Amino acid sequence: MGFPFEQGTWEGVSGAIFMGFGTATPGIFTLIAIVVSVVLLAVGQKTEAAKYRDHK
Amino acid sequence: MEEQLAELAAQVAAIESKGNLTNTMFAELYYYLTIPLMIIIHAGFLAYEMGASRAKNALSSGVKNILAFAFVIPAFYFFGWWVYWGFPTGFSFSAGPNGISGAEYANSIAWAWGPSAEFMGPNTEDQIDGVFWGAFALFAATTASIFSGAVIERIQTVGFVILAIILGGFSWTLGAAWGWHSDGWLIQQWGVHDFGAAGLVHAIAAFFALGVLINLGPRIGKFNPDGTANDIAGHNLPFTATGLMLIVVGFWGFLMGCLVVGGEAWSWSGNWNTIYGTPSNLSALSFNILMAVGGGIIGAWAFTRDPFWMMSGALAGLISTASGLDIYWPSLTFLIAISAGILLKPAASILENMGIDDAVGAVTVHGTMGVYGMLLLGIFASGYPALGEAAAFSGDAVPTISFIGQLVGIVVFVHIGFITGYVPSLILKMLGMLRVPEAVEIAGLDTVKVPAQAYPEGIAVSPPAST
Repeated sequence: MGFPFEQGTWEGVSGAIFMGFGTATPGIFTLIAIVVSVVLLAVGQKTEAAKYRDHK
Repeated sequence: MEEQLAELAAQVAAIESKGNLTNTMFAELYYYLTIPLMIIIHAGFLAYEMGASRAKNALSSGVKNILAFAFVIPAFYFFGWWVYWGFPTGFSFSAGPNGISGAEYANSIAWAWGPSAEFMGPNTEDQIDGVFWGAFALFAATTASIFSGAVIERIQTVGFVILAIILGGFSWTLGAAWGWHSDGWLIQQWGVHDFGAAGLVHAIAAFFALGVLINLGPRIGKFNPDGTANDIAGHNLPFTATGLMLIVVGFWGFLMGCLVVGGEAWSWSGNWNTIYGTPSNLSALSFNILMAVGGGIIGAWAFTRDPFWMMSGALAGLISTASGLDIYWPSLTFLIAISAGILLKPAASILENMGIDDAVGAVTVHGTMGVYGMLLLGIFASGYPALGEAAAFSGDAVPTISFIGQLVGIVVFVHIGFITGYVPSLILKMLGMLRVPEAVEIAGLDTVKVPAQAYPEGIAVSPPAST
């Protein structure tokens, strides 16, 4: 993603400094993170329910 | 009017002086508090190792861990601090561009004798050097604790302590001099960035452990004649899992120590900076540490459902993102940590299939994930300036982070760790000081050499009280 400022030094840089600042990538990563969390929870629920069924 | 102005100026000067004093005392206290926080790492490793040992070895594992802490601290006092300040420019021992490195500089501040002794003991005019030394001594002790878990249940005590002294006093310190110190040649020439020490603490300690494990060999019963591995379960998984959580708590202190407080004579600026002089702050750490811990646990849970690997996943999440905790976007941190948690168990299995008996997965958690994290930073942070505006650099332009630079850093850290672990442990093996005799290992190390019992009454379940 690279350095989000035009100059190649930290001189005069202030404010947000994280990777992808000023682009859509932070939002994209956040969306992916949410989706991954929900998917892992859903898969977790599915496997847990299967174990309960095996012990009925 | 002039008298009033003079009085006002005096009042402003007095306020400024008090403000400076407050800042100074805050800075000193800040680093001072990282020390007990990092001791929590050791409490965690102590519980972790003892729980991961079989009951017959629980106390001897504890003795070993406690001694690692005890011996690494004086080793860092006697020579480790000198290594950090003397070696940044490599084996030339010359001063770097920031003028705070090289043999001459190290001689002036880091020996506990001669003229530099004034900086190595109580001194009313030097209130910070002992605090900095203490924080770095705890970084050193952390490396020894990382190594300690891998070799439980078959290593000799004194042989282990000698190795811990080498790791804590020299190996990681050399890596820190080269990859953390602002004059370090890995930063100045290759733009290596390892803010939270994924490579220079975790990977060095892990590959040091790997070098020792090759000479030490697996525990009796770990591998079958056909090469397949058996699981040797520790006697107390709840203790191990709690220990891992304590390690996570302690790492808040560890990572606090990776920031430089602003506004002091030794600061980079009037605000928070990394050790490289680049900007960051506690807010960045708070966002990213928590997201890393959460992501690592979730990733390991998704793949294993096992509390041991889930808490190891927390560490894997932290270590895989440690190099860039100062600049990562928290959602990206979370995703990297999840991937680390998922990769953890398969990576440990690969090592096991190679015939390496790493009793607690230290090589994987700290080594594989340290390497993984440093390389990912080289991809995501490529182009970031590796030094801040106040730091001097040796070339025409400020060095920048790159994948190649991170790769070079990793190759160097892995070799520092592996060689300084493998060679001394080979010598100890030839001297008969590395591994306990087979009969001792079978009987249990506690029975043979610890004058106390871990569970003198067994682990009995008490009946409920009658009402």
